Amino acid sequence: MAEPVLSTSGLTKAFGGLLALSDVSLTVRPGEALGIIGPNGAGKTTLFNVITGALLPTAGEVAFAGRTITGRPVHEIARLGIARTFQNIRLFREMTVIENVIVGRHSRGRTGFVGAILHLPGMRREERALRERARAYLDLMGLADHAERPAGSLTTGQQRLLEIARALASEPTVLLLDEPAAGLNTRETEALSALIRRLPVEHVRAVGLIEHDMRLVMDASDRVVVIDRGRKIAEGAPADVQRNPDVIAAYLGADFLAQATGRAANGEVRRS
Amino acid sequence: MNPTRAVALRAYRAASVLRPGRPGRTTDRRAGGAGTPPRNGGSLMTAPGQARRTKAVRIAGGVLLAAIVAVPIVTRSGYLAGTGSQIGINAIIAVALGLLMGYAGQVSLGHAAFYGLGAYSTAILTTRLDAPPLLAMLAGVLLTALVATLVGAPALRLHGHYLAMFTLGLGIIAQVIMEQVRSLTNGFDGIAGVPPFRLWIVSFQSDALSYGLIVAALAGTMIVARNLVHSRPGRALRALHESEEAAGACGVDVARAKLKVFVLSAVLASVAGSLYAHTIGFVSPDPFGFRFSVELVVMIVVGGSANVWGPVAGAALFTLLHQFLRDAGQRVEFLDNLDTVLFGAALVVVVVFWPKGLVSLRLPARLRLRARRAEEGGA
Amino acid sequence: MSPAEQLLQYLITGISVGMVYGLVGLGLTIVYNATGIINFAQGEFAMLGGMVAVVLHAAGMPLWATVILAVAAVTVIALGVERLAVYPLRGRPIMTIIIATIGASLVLQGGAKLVWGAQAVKLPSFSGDTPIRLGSAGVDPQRIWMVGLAALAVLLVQLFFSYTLVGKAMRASALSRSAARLCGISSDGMVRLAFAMSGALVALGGAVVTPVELMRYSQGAQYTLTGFLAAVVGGLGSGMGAVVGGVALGTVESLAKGYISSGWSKAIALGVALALLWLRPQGLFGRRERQR
Repeated sequence: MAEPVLSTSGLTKAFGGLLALSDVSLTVRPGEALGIIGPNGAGKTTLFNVITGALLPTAGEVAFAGRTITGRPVHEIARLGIARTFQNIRLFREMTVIENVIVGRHSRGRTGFVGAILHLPGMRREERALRERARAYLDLMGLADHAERPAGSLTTGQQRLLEIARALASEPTVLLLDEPAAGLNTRETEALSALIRRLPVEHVRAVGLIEHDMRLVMDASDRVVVIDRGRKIAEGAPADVQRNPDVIAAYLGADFLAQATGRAANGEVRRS
Repeated sequence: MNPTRAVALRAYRAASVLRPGRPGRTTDRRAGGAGTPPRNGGSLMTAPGQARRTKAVRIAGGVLLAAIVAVPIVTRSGYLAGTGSQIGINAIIAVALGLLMGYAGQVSLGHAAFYGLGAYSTAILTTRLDAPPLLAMLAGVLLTALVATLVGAPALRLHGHYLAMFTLGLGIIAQVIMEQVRSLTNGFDGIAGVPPFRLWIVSFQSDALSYGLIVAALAGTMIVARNLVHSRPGRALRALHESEEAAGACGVDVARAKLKVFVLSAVLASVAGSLYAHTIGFVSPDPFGFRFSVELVVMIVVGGSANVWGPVAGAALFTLLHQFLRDAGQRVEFLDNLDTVLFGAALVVVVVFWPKGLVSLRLPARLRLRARRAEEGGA
Repeated sequence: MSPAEQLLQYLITGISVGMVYGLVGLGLTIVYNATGIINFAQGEFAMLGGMVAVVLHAAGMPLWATVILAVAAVTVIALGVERLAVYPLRGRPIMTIIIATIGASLVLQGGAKLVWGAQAVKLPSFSGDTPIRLGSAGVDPQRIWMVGLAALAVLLVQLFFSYTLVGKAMRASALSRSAARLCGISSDGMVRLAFAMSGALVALGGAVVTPVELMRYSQGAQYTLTGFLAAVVGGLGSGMGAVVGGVALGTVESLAKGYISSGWSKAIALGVALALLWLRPQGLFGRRERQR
């Protein structure tokens, strides 16, 4: 088995008396899309927050590309190569669509305060390069026509795609997607699924995907991890996890799994 | 449609054409939603004829501006030059604070302290140590940069009203220091006899030269602001204004960026303070207190902080009104005390109807909709 | 005076003025809990409470009547501020509303200057100036009025919130607007009530402090800042905390005034409060900031 790209060991996060994460250890292997599922409030977003440095863990470590990154500041972890999207879409709404992506590429630029104020020659070149690359990512997401619109004027589906474009713009090693399908209709979700499947192949080394849409998770993930009440309760291939009684119990509902199981039984397209 | 309203509508439409500012910035952001055409930043939508007209209008606007600026020099009026100087000084600080508040979204209600720091540094060093003015100004700048860094780092960890009150408190402490450390600042009596600004052998003694110097400093400040805004760090500031979380995730060192813009705006205010000392020749704690900090906020909010011209317009409006009321107040005492009420009322009215400030002048949204409907129905 | 007596005097002064700061802080807290904003015009309500009382007294009214009428007048003014500067901005970002209240405070301040000029004014003490003997020290009776009336007001407010239906409705509204609305509680009404209450409270404080500390048009700003710091030191959102915080600040200020110098006292009290604000933004009794 190849060396994991990203791994956590014994990650614990307590908020006062509440244990949001409890001894969570997982790995993300190169070339894979790891699905992370679990009931609402299970701690999935907290997991992302701790990995990206937005929160400090109470205990445990996060390792990335061979280095320990626990406790490093958010911007440093971003520069090292972990990018993310947010559950409740945090776009820069007053800025244009393309500006959002250019900010995503912030770590690839070098002009600082002094350089900007003095309008040094290198700055023009750098701006042009940043803009070109940003446009490429917009093309990838099909948003190129909206480049100069304020980001807040896009539809939810477009906004989610823009967030992904922004995250990809930094050319990260790992891309963490937090409920990217929330608010999307079926057609949009299918397109998203196809996109996510291409990512570990064409653009990043690995993807972490939090999702509630079971069909998307089963289609797009190579492996799935299940978190319930802060603990990892199952791990494995999507098909196996679906049938795991603990997982079913955690969700307390046949509905969720019927959604995916039923369709899979129809013989619809599944990840090979 | 009622004829008065028709005329008003046409007049304000004409005014919006003359409105300065870079394309794409002052337009109403509420226009949007899928299906609206891209803003005029996109070259596809600007027809060549339109582009020519915009350029002609810009040139006309520039000439008009140059003419206005030249008036005090040409007429050799000490009064006009003095007023112009005060406008210029206020505008420098307003633009500086506008960078911090408008772009980075960080409130500071204590910026007058940095203004005072520059003024007092210049005053003390030139009167007590006979230091050359440029050196004194530089010393003021360095001292301000130091203080702003020490104070800004902890302060900027706070947000919203906490930051506002924290900076307010710091500003008041600074004012108390100015009043109490008599050995250094001469307390309430202030320091008199500050010589005019001097660059080698050129002494900016006359009102006109003083004014010219300040205009040059203002132009420099505006260029600095404009360059910063249209740049990678400027983008980072706008990003963190909207979401510090997301900006951080994009690799922006949020704390550092906030501190840098804070220090920059403080330093610019300090330069304005030094110029103030040279122009008036006298410094006392009074103009550098909490009151002026609040007045700065009025200038920025009323003028608009979305582009570089907004705070200048706000400063001009404020200073002229203040001056007018003070002069008129010499004849009719009632008017002298009216300024605070008017500024307060202006602040509330502008915030309610024109949140982007007067520079983004449009009819308030509700009235505009009614006017458009009336126009389509009647005229 | 012996050092002990001197200390006692400073403490009495500090606690009595501190209670007034606490009232302003409590007023700010009530508005904050109902709206999420810091009302920058709060101190002006205190200033006007004092000024209006002075005017009414000069017109010949008995003291007790002037206080009651001043409180009533400022309550109306507070409602006016809510209607003109806060209500039209509902739904806008918090900073915008705060700036509007700054505008309102300027209008009130300027208005006071216009009507009453820059003079400092004073009310006669409520029950004369003869110091009441407390052991070998003499206590200015007005101080007792200050502490007493302020404590009474605070008590009434606590009772209101704990035992009356309206008070509980306000607390519910503060915790969750939408839930409260579903129960039929009008959040606009709650906001108006919050402003009215805080206006009344703070005006009382202003009226009761004017006999000992002169009042002028510019005093409002001081009270706003001190009131805010009192609320923060106590914990933004906790009314009792604001009162405790106010007393603490008043005491620090008074001790600084007595032992160090009057000129520096303001800066020292501010410095202590700012340090506390930064070290412990949630204050002594506060809960964590409401998640919007």
